[in-house]
Amino acid sequence: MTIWWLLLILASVGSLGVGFIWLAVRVGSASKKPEHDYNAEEAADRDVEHLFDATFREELRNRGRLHFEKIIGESAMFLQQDLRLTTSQLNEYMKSEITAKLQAELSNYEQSIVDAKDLAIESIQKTNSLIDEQRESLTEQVRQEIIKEKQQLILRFETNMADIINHYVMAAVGEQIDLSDQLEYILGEFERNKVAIIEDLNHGI
Amino acid sequence: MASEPAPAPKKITLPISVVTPSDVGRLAHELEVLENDLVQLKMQKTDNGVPQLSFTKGLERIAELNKFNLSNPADRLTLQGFLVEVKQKAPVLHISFNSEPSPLFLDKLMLWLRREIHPLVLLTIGLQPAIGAGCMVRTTNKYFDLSMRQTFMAKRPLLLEQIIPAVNETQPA
Repeated sequence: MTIWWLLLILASVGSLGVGFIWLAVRVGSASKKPEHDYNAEEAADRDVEHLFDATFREELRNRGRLHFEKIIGESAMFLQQDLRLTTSQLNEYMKSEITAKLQAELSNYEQSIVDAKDLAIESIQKTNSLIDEQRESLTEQVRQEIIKEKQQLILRFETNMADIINHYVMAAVGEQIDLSDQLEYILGEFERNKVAIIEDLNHGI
Repeated sequence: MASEPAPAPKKITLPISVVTPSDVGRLAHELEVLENDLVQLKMQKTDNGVPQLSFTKGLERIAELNKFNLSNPADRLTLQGFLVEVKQKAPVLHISFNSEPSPLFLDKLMLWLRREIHPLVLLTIGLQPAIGAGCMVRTTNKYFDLSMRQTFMAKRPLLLEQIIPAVNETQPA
């Protein structure tokens, strides 16, 4: 039973294929061009040559040239205007940019000058303060040196005062005082040192 | 039988005029010369009797002061021994003055020194013009500045009391 059905299906498919091939052959033979169509196109070309001759083409070329020149001129004008506008805008932009840059640079420069000025003022103030301190220190040092020198002078004077006075007394009245006049003083001095002299003599004997 | 105690040795004093060790040496030398002269005179003894002796002032002075009879050999021997001992052992002070002291000054000084310091003390005198007033005394081991300068130094505070106010018055305020 199944085989019969299978054979039936195969026969149907085969008949459909044959029919399709036949149809394709019929359609291919119908699409071939006829010989007189090619001739028509050549005739049309000849008519076009006849209508658009050299003079007409020259006129058309001139008109086209003029139109083209007009368009070129208009375009050039528009381009010039655009260019001027662009140049003007560019100038404005450049001016504003340069001005802004210059302002910024000048501001920075001014700030730098202010900073440098502040720094210089601070430095000068520090220097002044330092100079004041050094001056005070130097003043104190000089004062101490003067006091020291004064004390040394006084000390030297005190140290040599006995010699000075002795020299002065002897120069002034030395000739008027001979040893006889000094006897009482000398004996007084002996009396004051008597014990020490006796003690030393007793040790020496 | 107990023997009598030996008499205490006679205390001999130096005259004020004997000041320096040289003076003592000169006296000892004179005494020695005298002794030699007497020996020679004895050897040359003639019929003229006791020879006449002549003494220097210094010798006469010490003999008189100590009641020695220089014609007596024992006294001369004692005095000789005394002078030698003085020359060897007497304490010596070296005193410098700014000028040559007069004999009168030395007499007074020696009188005081023999009375207060030592009865046989001798002096050597030096000159130091820089001393000014007073003197410098050098003993065996010490040096005493008895000059006016030392007195001024000792009394320096007193002088400063007078000088400092005067200096402060002259200084600007």
